[in-house]
Amino acid sequence: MATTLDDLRGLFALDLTDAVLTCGGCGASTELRAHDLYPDAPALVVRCPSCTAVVLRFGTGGGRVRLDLSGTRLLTVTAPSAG
Amino acid sequence: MAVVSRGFHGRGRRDGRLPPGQRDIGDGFPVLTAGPTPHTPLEEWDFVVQGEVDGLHRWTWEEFRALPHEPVTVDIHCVTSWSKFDTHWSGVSIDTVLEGVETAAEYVVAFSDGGYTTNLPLEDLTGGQAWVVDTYEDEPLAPEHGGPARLLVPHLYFWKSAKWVRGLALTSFDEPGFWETFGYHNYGDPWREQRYAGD
Repeated sequence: MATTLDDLRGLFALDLTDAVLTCGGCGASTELRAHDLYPDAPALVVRCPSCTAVVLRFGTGGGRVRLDLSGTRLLTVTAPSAG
Repeated sequence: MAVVSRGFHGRGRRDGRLPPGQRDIGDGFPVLTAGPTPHTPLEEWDFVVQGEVDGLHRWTWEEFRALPHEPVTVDIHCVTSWSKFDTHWSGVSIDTVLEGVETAAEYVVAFSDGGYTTNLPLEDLTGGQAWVVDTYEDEPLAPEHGGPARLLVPHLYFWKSAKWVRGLALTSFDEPGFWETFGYHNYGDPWREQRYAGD
């Protein structure tokens, strides 16, 4: 069955705090909650605990939600049906 | 040349020193950081001007300290909405740093220990508008505030005043930096409240 853009609705309905992120820099796979978090910057900055590279940025300022995953090679989340 | 802003006597917004959407933080000086604080030994520290210039210009810490310093008293404005009046710094004017540097570049990327970058028009760093400062309130600049040296560009939001700065890359093309690639305004004028792209 083809994957469509509509399937993204399901992705962002999931609880990403349980996600495992694979760092685009060093390749380490780590649970999101085990990363180094810098919440006091203008936005949340999440760094790889192995190499300190930025893997995720998340911000809600200015009436917009911003998510940057360019430092993440792979985001893995357990599907609801598998839980 | 000393650069001294107008005196502040508790008048706050009334004398026009508080940009729109900002609040006076008073004696506080919040530490906002997007990563671990670097602790580069001074014997390994240098400051460079590179990119589209006539060769690499480099100063060791001792050489940088020997450059003419000047006192600077300015108001600073953080994009997270706090402003701080009459901060006292000492540092080297970018005009001094760029003396003798031949370039046709119009843009600068300031880069720092830890990988932080921010981009600015070159004309916003010259003409007595910007410094590399190593002293805050008569003390060596603390690491949490960007020591041993940070950029100071007080007429723009404070994310442009890169902590832990190690150099300037001069370029012909504008290359968005760390926050500018995340939806923050490319220029960041607090008086026009340019917080986010499109503001």
